[in-house]
Amino acid sequence: MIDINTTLDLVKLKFYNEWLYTAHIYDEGLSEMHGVLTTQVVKTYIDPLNIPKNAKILDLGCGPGYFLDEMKSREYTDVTGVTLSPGDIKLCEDKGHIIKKYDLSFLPQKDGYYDESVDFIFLRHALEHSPYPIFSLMEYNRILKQHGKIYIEVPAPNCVRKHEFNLNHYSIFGEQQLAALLNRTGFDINIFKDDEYLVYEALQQQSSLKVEEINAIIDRKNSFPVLKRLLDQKVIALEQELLEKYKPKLIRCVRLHPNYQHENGVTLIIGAIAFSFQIYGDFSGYSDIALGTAKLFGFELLSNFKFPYFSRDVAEFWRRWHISLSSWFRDYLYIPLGGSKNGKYKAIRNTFIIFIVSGFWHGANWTFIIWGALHGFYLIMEIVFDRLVPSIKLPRSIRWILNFVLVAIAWVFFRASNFQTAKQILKNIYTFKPGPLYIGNASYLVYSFFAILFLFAAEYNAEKLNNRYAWLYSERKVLRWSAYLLLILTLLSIGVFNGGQFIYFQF
Amino acid sequence: MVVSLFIFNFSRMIKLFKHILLLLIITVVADRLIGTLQEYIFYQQHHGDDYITIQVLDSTKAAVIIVGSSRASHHYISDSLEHYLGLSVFNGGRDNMGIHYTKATINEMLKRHKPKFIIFDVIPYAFLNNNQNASNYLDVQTSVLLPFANKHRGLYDDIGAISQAEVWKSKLIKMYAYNSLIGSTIQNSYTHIGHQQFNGYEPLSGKIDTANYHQPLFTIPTIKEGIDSHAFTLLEESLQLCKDNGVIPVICFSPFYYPYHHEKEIIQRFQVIASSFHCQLLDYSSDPTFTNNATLFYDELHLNKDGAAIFSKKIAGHISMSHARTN
Repeated sequence: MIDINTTLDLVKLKFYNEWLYTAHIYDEGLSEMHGVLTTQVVKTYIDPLNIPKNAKILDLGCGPGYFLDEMKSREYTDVTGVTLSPGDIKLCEDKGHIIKKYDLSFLPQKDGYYDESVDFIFLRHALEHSPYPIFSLMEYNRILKQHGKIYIEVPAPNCVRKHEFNLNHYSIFGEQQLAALLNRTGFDINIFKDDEYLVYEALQQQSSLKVEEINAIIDRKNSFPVLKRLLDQKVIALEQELLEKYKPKLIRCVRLHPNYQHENGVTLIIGAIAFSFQIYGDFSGYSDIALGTAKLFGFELLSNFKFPYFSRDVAEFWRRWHISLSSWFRDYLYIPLGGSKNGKYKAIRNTFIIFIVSGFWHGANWTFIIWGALHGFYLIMEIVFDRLVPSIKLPRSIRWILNFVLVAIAWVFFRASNFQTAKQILKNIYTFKPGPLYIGNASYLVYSFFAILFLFAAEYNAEKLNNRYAWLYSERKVLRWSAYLLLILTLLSIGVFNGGQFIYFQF
Repeated sequence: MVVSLFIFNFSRMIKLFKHILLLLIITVVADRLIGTLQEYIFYQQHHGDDYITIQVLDSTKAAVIIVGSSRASHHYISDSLEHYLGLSVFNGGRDNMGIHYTKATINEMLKRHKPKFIIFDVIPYAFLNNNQNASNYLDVQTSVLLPFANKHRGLYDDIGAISQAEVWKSKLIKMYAYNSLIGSTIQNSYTHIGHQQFNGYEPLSGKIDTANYHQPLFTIPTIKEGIDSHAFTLLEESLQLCKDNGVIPVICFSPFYYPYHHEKEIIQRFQVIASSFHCQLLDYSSDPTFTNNATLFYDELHLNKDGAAIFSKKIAGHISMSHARTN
C-alpha cells in the first residue's frame, strides 16, 4: 500500500531539490562600498584577534576577494576563498588568491578539510545565502579547531534595506534566531551586533538616510548615543561625499527601436516604403493644415508639395518636395555661393553644400547629414550620368521606380536613430533574409496599403485628371455631401485624435 | 443693395445650417449603427491583444493571473506554471501596457472573479518620471481601455483620471472607442491570422544575434528625473485591491538581457510598498541565469520561449513556496 504522506514528502523533496538546482549562482562583482566595509571590519574585528600568520583561514562566499586582499596585505600565508561564482573566481585568481569552487555548506575532506583543521572562518554576508544554515554551521563547527574562531555577519531583517526581499537570501536571521542556531551548533558568541557598525554600514549604503530612518535600523535604545558618536566623528558629514562616490556609474540602456535585427529583408523593405509615405503624409498634411488655416483668413500660401513621388529623378523630386525650404536654400545659399555659373565643379560643390546644410537643418545628427549627403550624391550622379551618356534614356516607369528606391534608401537614414541602426537595416534588406511579410498587427498593413492606394489615386486625379473625380468639390450636391459624410465617418473610424504625432513637428 | 445682399447671404446661411444639421443627424445615426456593429464584432475576438483584455475582464476564472506589459505576456508560460503550481493560470500581460491599465483591469476583474494570486510583472524604470514617451504611453493605455468602458463603466473613472476629454469623446461618439480597430477586430474575430497565444502566453522564437548586437542601443531613464509618484500610487491601489479581495499579490521584475542594476531609491520604494502589503518582491532583473545569455532572449527586453520556460520554472518555485506557506 502507498503511504500518501511519504509520497507527498518525496514530491516536496523532489520539488525542493529542483528549486535549489535552479537557485541563483551569481557574480558579486566589484563593489567599492563592500571593499571599504571589509577593510573596516578587518581593522575593527579581525586584527584584534591576533591570528597567527600561518593560520589556516577560509573566506566562505569570498565574492571578489576583499577579505583575501586584506589578509594578503597582512602577509597571511594560508588563506583560501570559497565561492561558486565563475566571475568572482576569475577576479580572485587574477589577483593571485587561492580559490576553491565549493558549496558554502559542504567542505570536502578529500581536499583537506578534516575535522578541526581550520583556524579561522570569515563569513561576511554569506550565511543568508545558505538554504541549510544549520547544516552549514555544523559543517563550520566540524572543521574549526578547538578555540578556532568564525566571524559571521548577516544582514538584519526589517530594516530599510529590506534584505529579506532579496531573492538570493534563502535564510533570514533575526538576532535571537541566529543566536539560538549558533548555540545549537556548538558555538560561543563573542560579538553579535555592533550598533555603530550597523549605522556606519547604513550610512555607507544609504547616504541620504534621515535620523529617524537610522533610528529604525539600529536598536532604538542605543540609537541616540551611537548617532551622536557618529556625528562627532563626522561620519555623517560623509553624506554628500558618499552620495557622489556611490552614485551608480553604470551606463544602463535599453532598446527603443525594437526588433530590427530580427526583421527580415521583406519586412524592412515594407517598413522603408511605408516610412516614405508616412513622412510624406505627415509633412504634406502638416503643410496643408497651415495652408487651410491661412486660407480661412484670406491668405493664399504657396503649396509646399507637388506630388513628389511622381518624380522621375532626384532633381525633380526636390522641385516637388518641401518647396519652401528648397527655394530658400536656392535663393539664399546656392545662388550666393555662385550657383552653376562658375563651372561644373563649383556647381557640383554648391549642390553638395546645400544638401549637407539641408541635412543639418533637420538636426545635429549624423543620420540627417548622411540623408542630405545622399541626396546631394544622387543629384551629382544624375548630372554626371546625363553628361557622360546623354543618349541613354531609361523608360519613364523605370526612372520613377529607381527614383523612389533611391529616395526610400535615404529615408532609412532619416528615420533611424543612429548610423549603426540604419546600417543594420540596410544590411538586412540587402541580404534579403526571408521571413514573414510583416511583423505586428497585420491590420495596420492593410490600412496602410489602402491609404497609400487612395493617396496615389487622389494625386493622380489632381495631377493628370485635373480633379475630375474630386467629389468634395463636385457640383452635384448629393455627391458632395455624401463625400463630406464619408470623410467624417472615415475620420471617426481611423483618424488620429490625440495630438502630437507629426514627425515634422520637431523640425 | 447691401440689405438685399444680407438677405441673400442670410437665406444661404439658413440653408447651409439646415444642410449641416441634416449632415449631423445622419452622422449621429450612422455613428450609432456602425459603432454598435463594431462593438459586436469587437467582442467576437478569439485571439489578439484585445482578446486578452476581454478574457481578464469577462471570462477567466484562473487561480493565478499575470498582469503587466509585453514582458509579462512573453515571459510567463501559463501551461508551464499550471503544471508546476497545480493551479489554473492565465497570462493577462499585454503589449505596451503599464500600471495604469493593470490597475483599471484588475479593479474590474475583481468585481467578477477573485483569483488566488496576481503576479504583477513590472519594469522599475517605468515608475520614473522621464519614462520614454510618458504621455504617449498613458494615451495608449487609455485608448486600449476605451472599447471596454461601455460594458465596464468603472473603467471610465480610470480613463477620466488621465483624460476627461477621452471619456466625453467616447460617450458622445460610439465609433470613437473602436477607432482604427476595425481591421484587427475583423482579423481576430473571423480569421486565425496573428500571433499564437496559449492561455495568454505569447511565445517568441529566435535569439539575439550577438554578432550584430553588442551593446544596448538607448539609455533608459534614471532616478535623476524623479520618481513617478502617481505610478506608485496606482501600484499601491492595485495591491490594496488585492488585499481587500483576499488575493495574494506578487511583484516581479523579470529578466533583462543586459544586467539591469536598479537604482536603490526606486527599489526601496518597491520594497517599502511590498513590505507594507506583505507582498513578495521577486527580482530577476540581473539574474545571471539569464543576463547576457543571448540564447534565452528574443531581444534586450524579451525572453524567447526557451528563456520563458526556465523563468516560468523558477517563478513557479517561488510562488509554490509562498503558496505552501499560506496553506
